[in-house]
Amino acid sequence: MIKGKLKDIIWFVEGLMVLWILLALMTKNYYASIPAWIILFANFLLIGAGSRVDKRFLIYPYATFIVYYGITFYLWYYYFKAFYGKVPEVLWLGFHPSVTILWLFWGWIGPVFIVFLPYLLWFSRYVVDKKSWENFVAEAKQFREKEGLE
Amino acid sequence: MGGIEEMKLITTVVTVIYMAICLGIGIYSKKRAEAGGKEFFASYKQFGWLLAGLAAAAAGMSAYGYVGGPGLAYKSGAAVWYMPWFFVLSYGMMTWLNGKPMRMMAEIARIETFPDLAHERYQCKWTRFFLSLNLVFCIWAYLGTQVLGGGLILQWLTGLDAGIAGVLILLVTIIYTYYGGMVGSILVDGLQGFLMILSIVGAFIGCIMIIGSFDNFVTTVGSSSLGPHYVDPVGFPTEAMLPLVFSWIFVLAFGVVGQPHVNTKFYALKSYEDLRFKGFIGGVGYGIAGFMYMLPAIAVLYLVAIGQVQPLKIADQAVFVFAEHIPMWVTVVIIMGLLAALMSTASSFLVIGSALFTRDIPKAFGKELSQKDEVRIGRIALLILGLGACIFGLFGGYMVALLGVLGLGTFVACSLPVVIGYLWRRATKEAALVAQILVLLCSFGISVGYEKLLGLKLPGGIPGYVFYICLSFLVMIFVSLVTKGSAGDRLPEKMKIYFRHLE
Repeated sequence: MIKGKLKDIIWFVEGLMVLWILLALMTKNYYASIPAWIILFANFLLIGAGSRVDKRFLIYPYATFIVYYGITFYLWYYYFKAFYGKVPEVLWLGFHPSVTILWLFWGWIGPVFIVFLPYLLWFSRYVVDKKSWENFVAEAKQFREKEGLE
Repeated sequence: MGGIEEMKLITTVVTVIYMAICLGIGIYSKKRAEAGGKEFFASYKQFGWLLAGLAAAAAGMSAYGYVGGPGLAYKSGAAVWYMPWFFVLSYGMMTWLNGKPMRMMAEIARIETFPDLAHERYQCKWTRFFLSLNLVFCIWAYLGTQVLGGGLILQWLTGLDAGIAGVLILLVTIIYTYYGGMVGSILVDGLQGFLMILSIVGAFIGCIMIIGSFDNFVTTVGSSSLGPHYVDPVGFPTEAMLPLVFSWIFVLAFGVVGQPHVNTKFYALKSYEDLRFKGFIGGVGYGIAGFMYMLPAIAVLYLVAIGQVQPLKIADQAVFVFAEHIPMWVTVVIIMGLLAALMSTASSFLVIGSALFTRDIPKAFGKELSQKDEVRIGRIALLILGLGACIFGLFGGYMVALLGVLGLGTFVACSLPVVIGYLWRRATKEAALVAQILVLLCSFGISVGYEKLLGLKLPGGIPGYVFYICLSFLVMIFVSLVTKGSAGDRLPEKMKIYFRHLE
């Protein structure tokens, strides 16, 4: 699904996202960098899966990544502002809620369940299957022999 | 003998045994490493996903995570925790972006190093040269800081001068890496990855024994003279940490995507199917080790808040103050984890550094060695590089601190053109070359000159590396759109085959 012109467009969008992040940070609009950050890294999943992206991939992990990080960044901001400059009245697992979002939601749940899990579960579907790999290895070997690299 | 002295003596004895084991593993892997440059520099197809994954976790976590990280977290509060946690995400991104492409590139061309990838993709010797140059400076910077970090550990244990102590640790690392190359490095890294994870269990138990519960920590520290900013997500002082927090969210999510010493572990996998689990093990392993940024700082801040410990004059002492307040067996485990973090990163750097001098820079000028000669010359280069780093760490003084600023940022910025290159057929050699030159200029011009020597800050208060990581990325995208070299229809034949199968 993601190849040819569409891939070029995604890389162009990635360039715009990085430009957005840089401008937001340099003009002290730090929070404005987050939407671009979410799209930038979600799109890396699309690029990684390339032509193997299908409708299911667009829902999980792609859209799930965007929604999950969108919600958790909002909650992080909400609780940061709510308890700014005081001891928090509510604790999550013993920490300031925004700090729990930091180590649990961003450090563990997001990476494990949205980024690693689809790679683990559907390796053949979204990364490479046995037949494709063997075809590639055979063609690569043929090329190396032709070029005298063996 | 007092309690602390006894604990230090036992820890020293265990350290000596541990180092002897590392040396033994290095010598044991000598024969496998000597098979050729592919084995010595890349450990090509030697290991399964568990060992390679643990090695990736260990190589990603440096001495900084065990000494500098807790020190900074003690000084600035929870804001520093963004560093490990966004790094975990970067292991996931690395898996999606680098795993399959790096393995495919190694099937179709003779790849041993990161600059090899750049060369095969762009067919440009100057891109290879400038990438190698950028990596050389990063490696010197990292090795210098590993000497300093190691020095602090042995100094605390034995009372030796920090510089000499750091050199001693690096010497042990040099010896086992000299014999075993990347094969020995990964075998030792596997053990070290396991030790690092074990040390976190110890740190967690030690931390809970001091603070009682995390609720108690938050309430006590937040309402003490330290203040609530130490327990909030942006830390202390809030205004100063805000640009850093958002910079880290961005840069550290790239993290290992642009770290050659972690990525080269993909070559070590026996089968392409091992890709499935390797990244996961690396990420989870790092995720566990990442707690080291938090736990010692939490415990020491608590001890300061209740008046049991005086505020630290040197923040980097936080992990050692923590070690003095926990049971002896926990201290031993933590110090082993600390040494493991330091030595695993240093050995990976020594191997890829020696490859730069043996393979990458000579190849940029058309000189190529046989596989056997690569191992022989590589070992000499490794010795020179390692001993040079020792001398630099001992006598470099201010220069160590100056070069120390070229770490992760330069790594990511100079690796991005390679990563984008093997993911996007439109990426051009002109863009890659311009990006490499700009990274070199910015690393010294902004990080060393503008920020370190002149003490100035970029607009928004962001660190200089954020600027040149973005610049490298933008150049790769937008210059590629207006140039054509080694891209699209002008791709080298092998790259056409590669992209046909990748996409």
